[in-house]
This record gives sequence, C-alpha cells and structure tokens, in this order.
Amino acid sequence: MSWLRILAGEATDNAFLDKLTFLPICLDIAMVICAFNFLAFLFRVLRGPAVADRAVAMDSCGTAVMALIVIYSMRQGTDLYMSCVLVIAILGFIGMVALSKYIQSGNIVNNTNIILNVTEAEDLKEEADAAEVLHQKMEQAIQKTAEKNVRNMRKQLNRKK
Amino acid sequence: MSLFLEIIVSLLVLAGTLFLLGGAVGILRFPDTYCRMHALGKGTTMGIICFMLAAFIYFAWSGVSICVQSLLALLFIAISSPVGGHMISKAAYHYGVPLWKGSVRDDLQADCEFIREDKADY
Repeated sequence: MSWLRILAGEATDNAFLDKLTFLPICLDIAMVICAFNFLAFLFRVLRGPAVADRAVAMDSCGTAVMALIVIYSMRQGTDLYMSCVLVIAILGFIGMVALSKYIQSGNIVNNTNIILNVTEAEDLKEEADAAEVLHQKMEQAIQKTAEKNVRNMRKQLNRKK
Repeated sequence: MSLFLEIIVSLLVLAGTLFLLGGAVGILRFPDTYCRMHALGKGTTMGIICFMLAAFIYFAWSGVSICVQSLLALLFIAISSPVGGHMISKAAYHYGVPLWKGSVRDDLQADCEFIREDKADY
C-alpha cells in the first residue's frame, strides 16, 4: 500500500501490486517526478524564445504524458491504456514533421519555394544570370530593329524628295 | 524469481524517470535552442524506451497480457524521435535562430552561407 494511493483514493485495488514491496513506492516517485518534468516542459513552451523551442517542448510534453499513462496503467493493472501511448507517439511525430516544414518555409503543403542546399541555390543563381543575359540581348535586338526602321523611313523620305 | 523481476522493473522505471528528469533539467538550464534540443532528444527517447520495457515486463509477469502495444511504441519512438529532433533543428537553423556565443564549431555554415543569416528577433 503506497501513500499516494491513500492520498488519491483510487477506485480499483490492484491486488498484484499490493503484494509487492518496493515497486509501488518506485511508481509513486516516478509519477511525482514525471509531473515535475511536465511542468518544466510547459515552462519552456510558455517562455521559449524561438518557435522551435516551443515545438520541441510541446513534443516532450507528449512524452511526459506517455510516461504518466504508463505508470498509471501499471498501477491500475490493465494494459488498455497502452494503445493511447501508441497513438500519442504517432501523432507527436506527425506534428513534429508538420511544424518543422512550417518553420522552414512558412508553408506546410507547397514546398516549391524552399532552397534546400548549395547546388540548388547555385542553379537558381545561374538561371537568374542567364535570364539577365537574355534580357540584355532582347533589348539590344529591339534597339537594332528600331534603328533599322528609322533608317528605312529616312531612305523612303529621301526617295520621295 | 519474483523478487528479481520486481527489482528489474523498479530499476527500469527509475532509470526512465532519471532520463526524463535529465531532459527536463536540460531544457530548463541550457543556454541555446540547439543545446536544449540535444538534451531533449536523448533524454525523452531513452526515458520512454525504459518505461516501455518496464511496462512490457510488468504486464507479462503479472499475467495480464503480452502487451504488444508497448513494444510497438518503443520501436516507433526509437525511430521517430531522433528524426523529428533533427528536422526541427535543421528548420530552426535555416530559419536563422542564432547559435550560443560560446559555440565552438559550425560545420553547416559553409553550406548555408548565402541562404541564412542570424535573426535578432526569432
């Protein structure tokens, strides 16, 4: 019989756990420390300067909740809560991936605007340079054609005179 | 045999608690975003692995069931938690979260020189 069980007054009595000597005390200590961990992660969620800090701390809040669920299910003596742990783990990973995409590009689904590495950036730079060169050539061609037109007009005018 | 299993389960529970506590102390005390991620990535992964092993052994020993969910959660956490930590820290680096002023080495700087610059308000 552990002191936290007397304090909380749980509904079900786990007869298997009551026979053991020091595992209930260990579970109580672990439960208190995990609650403290949850509060520490929550402090970082409130305080953290960067968005990444808050994201990681929130994921770790999920981890602390998983630990608490495991301890609680061990105290109750059922394994029905372990599915909840699995679901929290999977959802936490998906949330982490979505948040990292959001932090990197400000956008989750469409990631065409992300510059991923050096080679891509160099390619983009080369494309921009090529486009600039093309633009200059086009301007020169336009100028040449305009000058030709002016010359032809002058010739025609001279012939008419 | 019963005492042996009880000692193992208790040690696993206490070890998991210790790892989680290490992560919590790290996230409270470390100076930098990347340092905090480093503390959390190791601490939470190892803590949850210890907890899941303890739950599996406890449920198999007490005759409730062979709890496959705990092993699945262990496997999934062991794979996904480091990957998520790396993704978040890479995103933070590309976003421009500055490094701690006492940091010695920054190997990614040469690769991201003209993509990234440190932001004062992140």
